[in-house]
Amino acid sequence: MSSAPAIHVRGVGLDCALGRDAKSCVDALAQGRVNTVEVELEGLLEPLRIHYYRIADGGVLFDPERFRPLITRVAREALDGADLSAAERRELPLFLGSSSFSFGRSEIEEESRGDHAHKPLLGFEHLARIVQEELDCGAEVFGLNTACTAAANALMVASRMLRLGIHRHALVLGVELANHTTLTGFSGLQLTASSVRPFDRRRAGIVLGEGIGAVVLSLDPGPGRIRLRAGACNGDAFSVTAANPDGSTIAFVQAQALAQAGVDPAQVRGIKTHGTASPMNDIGEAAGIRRLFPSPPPICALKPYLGHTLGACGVNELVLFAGALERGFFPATPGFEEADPELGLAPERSAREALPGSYLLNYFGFGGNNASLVVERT
Amino acid sequence: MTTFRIAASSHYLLGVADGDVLPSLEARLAAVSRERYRRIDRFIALAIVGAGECVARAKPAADCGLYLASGVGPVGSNTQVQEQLCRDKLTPKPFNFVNTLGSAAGHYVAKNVGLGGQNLFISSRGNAFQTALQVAAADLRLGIVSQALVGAVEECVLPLDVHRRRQGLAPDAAMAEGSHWMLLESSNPGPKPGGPSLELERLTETSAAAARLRELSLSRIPWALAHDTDPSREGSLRSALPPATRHAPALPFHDSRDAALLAGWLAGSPPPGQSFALLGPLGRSGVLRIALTS
Repeated sequence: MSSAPAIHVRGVGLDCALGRDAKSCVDALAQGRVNTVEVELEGLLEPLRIHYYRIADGGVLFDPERFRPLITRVAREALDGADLSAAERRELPLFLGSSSFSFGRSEIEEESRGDHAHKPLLGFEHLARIVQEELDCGAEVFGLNTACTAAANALMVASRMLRLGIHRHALVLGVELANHTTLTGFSGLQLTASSVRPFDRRRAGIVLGEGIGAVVLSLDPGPGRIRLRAGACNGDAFSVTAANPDGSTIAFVQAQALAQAGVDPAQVRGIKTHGTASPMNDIGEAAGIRRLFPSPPPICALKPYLGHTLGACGVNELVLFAGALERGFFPATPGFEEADPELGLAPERSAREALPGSYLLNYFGFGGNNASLVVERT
Repeated sequence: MTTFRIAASSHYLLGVADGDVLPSLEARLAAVSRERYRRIDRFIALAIVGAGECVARAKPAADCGLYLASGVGPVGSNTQVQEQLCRDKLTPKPFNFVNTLGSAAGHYVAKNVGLGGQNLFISSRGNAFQTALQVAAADLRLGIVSQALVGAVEECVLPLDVHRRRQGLAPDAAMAEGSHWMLLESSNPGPKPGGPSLELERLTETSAAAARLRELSLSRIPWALAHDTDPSREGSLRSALPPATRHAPALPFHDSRDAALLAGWLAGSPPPGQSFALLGPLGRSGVLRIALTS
């Protein structure tokens, strides 16, 4: 793969609990800011309160009208940063990753009609249509729905299309906005907690979040110093809701991504873990990292900052992590205090210097879907 | 243009009429799986059956990638979850919730067929299968996988009048469920003699597409337009599309009818050397050409 063309992260956009654009999110990351709210879901037989990382747009959380302005804003931020010509923007393909797509909008429309069986099928193209209508790009759409790896896989697929010269630039979008289905679904699975403690002995589960991230990938360099070197994904037959706790499949996907990037594990400067803080995820991930890295490099988890943004976390966490690398720091992991002897792995409690080199980003999802990306800071 | 060998294919298409009860898939499931999966929905069952029947005579390679496509995904589980949430005012049942994710079907297919490699769920209304083919083709060309198991699955959820309304269809639209699969492999330096093959060609601009289609002389090859081809695109290609060889079977509706068209053509066991071309929209003004040769 050494002769493969470089894929540059040329423009980014982000809107999440940390801030309303990529720069303010990275500022908040550097300051270690964590903001959660408590959300009450009304209308259920048993009231449900859940901790949540929400976008601070001041709007009503479950308002379906939020989709259009929020998505447009973030995609525009990435497009403006990429500084493409009008012709290049018109031809830009859209790679979309989400796990809930526009559930929220579907639910509201359904409820307003009082007809629960007639769930409209907006989900699979509605988000793309917003980009097409508002930004005049995305005529060609690749929609990935592999749960929490969806946007990571969208980045992976887009980078391969660029590598083959099928496209010169690509817009990759991750979208996860608050909706009753996701919040109640995860609550029903008893996976939610009140705080995120990745790899901590007292970790109790995930805290969900909403976030929209956008990345413009390009064969042409921009002002940034981040390149997407490679990505890999695999299917884990162990369980539909968890990766194999022995770490074998996670070690395999990390090794595949690094091999495609032409990077030896010993050269990896740091790992952005999936780090959900659910008991099973962290066991499998820690085992997978230890299998591939006898002396693991520094690791961090970003979900304490923005929550688990599910299908969008592939792009959201790449934007955040890349922003940190650009500024020369490897993020701390708030919420981690006490090492778990069963894991044998501990994230950084303080930010440290990030040197040029290759970094690994992990993402795992329901459906036994595991994904790893390799980025390089030049 | 890239060409791939079709190592195997399968085709399941069932027309569903008002008043019908969907037939059990148990026997077909049992024929392709030794395991009895208790927590799967019909969407997952259709995926297991289609993929299992495809690879029944051609065991996939260890690094075979899975590319599962659907226009509307697991509608049945989604509907159940919405009913639990909105009508019954309960939190969704865990396995109903998990099955709303298309990747759940990919998990069961991979488990059943014995795949541990790349596993993607690709969704877009009207052209999910074509999109999946393009993603698979890229991975085959890059050598990331040596084989690609590509399938499209669409379920039909009763009652039909609701299912039609859900998809914005006419009250009398003929409906179907389906599962359509191909096992593709790189054919460098060329297709193996006698084996069916698939050509994929991205023609990114209308006039170049028309010129290329004229060069291919569709007057000798049956061709069809993808179902989501808009009239303006069809009009701009008219000079290159001889009406005499147009193939336009009246398929009952599901969102991946183009996959049904392609897999159905292969299932008809055409004599060696026959070809069939499916032409569909690509981006703003281009054409995606998918050509099968038996």
